[in-house]
Parts: sequence; C-alpha cells; structure tokens
Amino acid sequence: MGSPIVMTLLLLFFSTVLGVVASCYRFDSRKEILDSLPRRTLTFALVVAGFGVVAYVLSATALMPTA
Amino acid sequence: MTTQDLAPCESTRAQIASTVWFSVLIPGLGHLLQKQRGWALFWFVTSQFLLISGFYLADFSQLDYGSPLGIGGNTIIYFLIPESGNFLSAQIFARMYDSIESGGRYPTEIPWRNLGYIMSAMSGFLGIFSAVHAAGILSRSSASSSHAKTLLNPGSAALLSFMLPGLGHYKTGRKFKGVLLGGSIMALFIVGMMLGDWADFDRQRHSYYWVGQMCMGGSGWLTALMSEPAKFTSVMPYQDVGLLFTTAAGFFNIVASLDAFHRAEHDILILEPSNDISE
Repeated sequence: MGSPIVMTLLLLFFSTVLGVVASCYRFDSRKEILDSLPRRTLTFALVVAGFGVVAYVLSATALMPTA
Repeated sequence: MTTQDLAPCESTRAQIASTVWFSVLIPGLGHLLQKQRGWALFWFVTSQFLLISGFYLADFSQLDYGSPLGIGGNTIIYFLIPESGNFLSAQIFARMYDSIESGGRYPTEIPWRNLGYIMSAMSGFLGIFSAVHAAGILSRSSASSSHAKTLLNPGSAALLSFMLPGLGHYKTGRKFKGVLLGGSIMALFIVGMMLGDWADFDRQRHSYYWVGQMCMGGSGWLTALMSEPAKFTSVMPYQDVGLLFTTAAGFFNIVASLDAFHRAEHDILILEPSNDISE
C-alpha cells in the first residue's frame, strides 16, 4: 500500500477531474461550471474516502480471517 | 420548454435510429442511405482496411480476447470489444478464423500483434463514430434554418472530441470548456501513464482495462504505439492507480464526445422556429 498522503492527493486529483467532467456535462457556461466544480469534487472525494474508511474498518475487524 | 429539452422531431429521431443501426452493422451504410456517397466510401474503406490489416498483423489473435455468445451450441454473436463496433466484418472474421491459442501458438510469437490490436480497435471505434457522424448529418440536414446548415455537424464535433479531448467543444466556440475538459482528461491520462511507468497499456496484461484506455481516441492510440517497447522492470507502488486513471480518462473522453455532440446539436436546434424558448 502506498503512502496515505500520496493516495489522498491522487484521490483529490481524480475527484477534481471527475468534477470537471460532470460539471461540463451538466453546464455550458464558464461561471456555472466553475461554481459547481468545488461541490462536485468534494462530494466525490468524501464519498470515496468514506467507503475507504468503512472498508478499512471491516478488514481490521469483522472480515479479518483471524477474527 | 428549456434549452435542456430540445430534441429533433420524432421522424428525424426515427431516421437517426435506423441510420445508427445500419452504420454500426457496416460502417458507411448509414451515409450511403443518406446518399452521402463520398463519406460512405471513406468510412467503409477506412474501417475495413484497419480491421483487415489489424487482424492480419496480429494473426487473428484478437479472437483470443473475445468469446462466442449463443444458445445451446449455436453461436449467435461473437463478443469482441472494441472490434465489434465494425459489427458485420468482425462477426465474419470471427467465424472464418480460429484463435491463436487453439492453434497452439503463444501471442508473443507474433511481432506486430500490438500494432494489429491498435488498428483493429481503431476500426471498431471508427465504426461506432461513423454512426455518430451519420446521425449528425441527419440532424443538421433536417434543420429548416439556412444558418443551422452552416454549423458544425454534431457528429464531427463528437469525433473531434474523441480524437483529441475538448477539440469538438473548442470548434463549436466553447473554448473555455474545451480547454478545461480536454486539459483535465489529458492530465488524468498522462498522470496515469506515468504512475504505470508508461508500460501499463497492454491488451495481454488486462484486456478489459485496455478497451477503456483505447477510448482515449487519437491521443490514446498514439500513446499505445509509442509506449509499446516499454516493459515493467519492477512493481510500481501506484501502478494500479495509474491503470484506473488511464481507463477512467478513456471513459471520460466518451462522455466528453457525447457532450460535444449534444452541444453542437443544441446549437442547431435552438435556431428552429418551433423551438422558441422565450415562453
């Protein structure tokens, strides 16, 4: 597993690109795209990070083979 | 009615549906039915040349990455992506030739196989985009406004965006959006390739991810060609992240192409007198 800091930066980068694609698909004007971009980026990053936390907790507890 | 609700009239939509079907069956056929003989010849010759050359160079080892689908022992279609975008020809070749595996040879014994994979994949993608192009011609020709007929064909906008992310938006006057969208997708793809040490673009390693990577269009095909000699010398710490990035970039590129079509079509539809949205 890589460094948590690098993984977080990569997640933020991916989320930004996803936010750009989603905002550009939804809107056409520069202002609308830029206004909606932070919300979409943050939402995706938080959801993925949330799934990551749940997966980590499960792997360390209920799904641990020795548990 | 809002600008989001704009769509071609029902008869045009029915024509577009049949054109798309015929174009995917045989690239160029949709254009031929619209009496666009020049375009029909271009799409047909280009896609068939790429498919035949690709299969020949790879000694038909593409068939190792597909599988027959059918009922009982009868094969109905041969599932092979992305070559099946050029549907009928791919199906015929799949029935005429066996895979290399069944012939007892190993794919790495074929020196030009990667070039062959790229060419046959291009044929499949171009088969699909011939349908998009034909649909765009129909959409534009059905416009009553003479100004609308001078605008960029939505199919061409989609194809341009597919070949170079954001280019279709740029050509329809959406320069900021084109640069932002294209720059973001290209950045994701390049960072992904760097994380994989430029060696993780290989059909044999991960054939389904490879299809996603090939969705990057012209820039992806060029990268596949240039990175062909690169091989892994060690396990990279983020190579799986890189694979995800490059594959996702390809899918994002398809989304960008769809958006380019939609926006270019919107520019045409908004000029129609029946689509007055001021009410």
